[in-house]
Amino acid sequence: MLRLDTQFNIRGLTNRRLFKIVTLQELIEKGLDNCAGNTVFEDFMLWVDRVDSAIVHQLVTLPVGGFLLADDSLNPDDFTATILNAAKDKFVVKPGDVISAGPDSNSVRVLYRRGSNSNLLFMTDRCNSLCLMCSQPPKHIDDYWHIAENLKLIDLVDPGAEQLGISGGEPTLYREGLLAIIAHAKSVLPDKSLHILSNGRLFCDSSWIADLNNIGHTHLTWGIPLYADNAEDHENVVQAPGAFTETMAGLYNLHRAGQTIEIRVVLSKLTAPRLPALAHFIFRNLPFVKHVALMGIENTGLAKKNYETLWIDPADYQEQLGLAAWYLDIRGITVSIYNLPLCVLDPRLQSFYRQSISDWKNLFIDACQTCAATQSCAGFFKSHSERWQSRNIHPLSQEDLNIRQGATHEIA
Amino acid sequence: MKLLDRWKMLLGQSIAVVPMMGFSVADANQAQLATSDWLPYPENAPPAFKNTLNAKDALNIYAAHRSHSSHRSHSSHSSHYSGSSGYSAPRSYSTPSSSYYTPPASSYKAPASSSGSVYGSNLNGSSSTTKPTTPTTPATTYGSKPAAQDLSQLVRRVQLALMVKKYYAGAIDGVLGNSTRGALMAFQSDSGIGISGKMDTPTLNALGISIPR
Repeated sequence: MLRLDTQFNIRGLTNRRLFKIVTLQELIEKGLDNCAGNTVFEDFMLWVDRVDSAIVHQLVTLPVGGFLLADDSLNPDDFTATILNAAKDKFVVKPGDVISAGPDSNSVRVLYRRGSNSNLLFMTDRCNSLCLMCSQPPKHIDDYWHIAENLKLIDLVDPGAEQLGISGGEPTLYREGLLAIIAHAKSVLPDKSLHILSNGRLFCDSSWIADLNNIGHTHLTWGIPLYADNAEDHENVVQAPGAFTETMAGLYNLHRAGQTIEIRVVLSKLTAPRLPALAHFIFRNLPFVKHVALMGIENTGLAKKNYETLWIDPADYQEQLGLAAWYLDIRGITVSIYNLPLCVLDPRLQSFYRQSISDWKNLFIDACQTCAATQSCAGFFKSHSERWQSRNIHPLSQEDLNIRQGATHEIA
Repeated sequence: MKLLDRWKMLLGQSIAVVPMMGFSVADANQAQLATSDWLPYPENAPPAFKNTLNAKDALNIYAAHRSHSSHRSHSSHSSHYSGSSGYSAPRSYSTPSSSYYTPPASSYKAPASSSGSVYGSNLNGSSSTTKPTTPTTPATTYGSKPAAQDLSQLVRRVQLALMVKKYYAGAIDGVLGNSTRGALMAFQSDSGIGISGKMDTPTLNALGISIPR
C-alpha cells in the first residue's frame, strides 16, 4: 500500500494546478510525448536528483512549470521557479506521476500513478443515492471543477493500454462533463479502456442513448450495482425510492446504446441471502450483461455506521455465493468474486476469485504473516478492523495454495 | 501466413527479402540474414539488435533532407529551420478540449480555499498554448515545417542532451544559435556522424531523442 498524498515544502506556486513529473532523461528522450495529450513544457515538473546538482544553473533556464527536488542535498535557493522539496514520504510521488499542488496547502496529491492498477478519474462527491455501505459518503457541494481537472489529467497521463477508472460520487450527475471526458479519453487515450462506476439511475432518460452512440467509445464498461431481484430490497440498500425501476430502465437503455455492462453486487447481510434469486433475475432479465462482480464489503464510510445492519461473516454466505456464481457461469455470464481474503473463500469458487483491491488501499494483517498465499490473495482494505474480520481467517500453506490458483483480473 | 512472410515481419526493413525469392526458405543462409545491425551476443545471452531510437527512415521534419540539393541555398540561414525540403510525419491531432467542451461559466468553482478559477484558467490557458494545430500543415502533407513552438521544444531537448553530455553550457532557451550549433557539431564530430550542425535523425538517435509524434 502506497498512499496517494504526502506533504512537501511548496514555493512559488500561485494557483492550484496539475504537473506531470518527468526526469531529465525522459524529457530529453520523449519531450512532450511523455504525455498522452496536448501539453506544453509548463505542464512538466522536472525531477531533479543529486546527480543533476552540477547543472542546476542550466536547468533553471528551462521553462518547465516547476522543479521537484528529490534529494535533500539540493539547495532550494538555487531555483527561482516553482519548487517542491522535502517530501515527507519520498515514495509517494515518482517520475511519470501526475500531481495536483496548490499554494493553499502543503499536501500534494497523486492523481495519476505510473504503472498503478487503479488509476481513477474522480468526478464528483455528489450522489443521488445514499447506499448503506457507501465507502465514500456523498457531499452536496458544487464540485464541477473536477471535470476541467480530469480533462487536463487525461492529457497528462502516460500513453499506453492500462485501464482507467471513472468514479465518484455519481459521475452521471455531471452529464455534459462526463460525456466530454469520455470523448476526450477516446481521442487522447484510444488504447486505454475505461471503467465507469455509476448507479445507472439517470440512464432511465433515453436521450443518453444518442449521446453515447455519438461518442462511440469502444473500450468502455459501465459498472452498475444491482442489489436485489426486487425493488424493496434494492431500494433499502441504496436508500432511494424508485431507484430500482430507474436502474433497470437505465440498464436497458445502456444496452440499447450498445454499451458493455457489468453488474456489481456488494455482499452484505442485506444482499447475500437472496444472491441465488438475484443471479436468476439477472440471467432472465439482463442476459446481455457481460460480467457480474460479487464484491466483499469495504468497511469504511457509511458501512462503519451501519455495521449491525450490514455485517455478515463471509463464511456464512459461501453457499449462496457459490449457487449464484455457478448459476451465472454455466449460462455464459462471466462472474468474479472481489475483495474477499482467499482463506475465507470456498475453494471450489477459486476460478471466480480475483485480486481486486486497489494497490493504494490494500494491505495484509498479522494473521497473514505466515500465509503462503499473499501473492494471489486480494488481502484487506486499509480500513480493515477486527469486527469486520471473518472467523475463518487463517494462514494458508503452500499445499493449500497449489489447489487454489488465484488469477489477476480486475480492480474494484 | 507463409513462412516467408513471417521472416519478412521478423526482420522488418533491415533486410531485403527479394534476393531470397528463388530459394526455398530452408536453404536461406543464416549469414545472409545477419545484417550489420544484428550482433551475436557473447556466451548464451539472447541476440541484441542495435535498434536505433528512431528508424533510419523515420520522418524527421526537423532536419533538412539532404537529397534535395535544390534547397541547399537555404542552409545558410541555418539558425532557422530550413524546412521546405523536409517531410512531415503523419500527425493525428486530437482536438483541444476547449473546442468541444465549453464549461458552463457559472458552474466553475475553484477548490475551496484557493484563489480564482484555477482549473478553468489552467485548462484554457494550456489549450490555447498547446501544440498548435493550424501552423503545421495538415496530416500527411509533404514538405511542411514544424511549428515554431514544436521546433523550439525539440531544440531545448537537444540542448539538454548536449548539456548532459557536457557539450553545451549555455541556457536552455530553445534557440538553435551559434553556441548550440557549435555544440551540436562538436558532438557530431566526436560521434562520427556527418557534421551538419542540424538535428538530423542520426544525431537525434545518438543523443537519445525520439522525434516528436
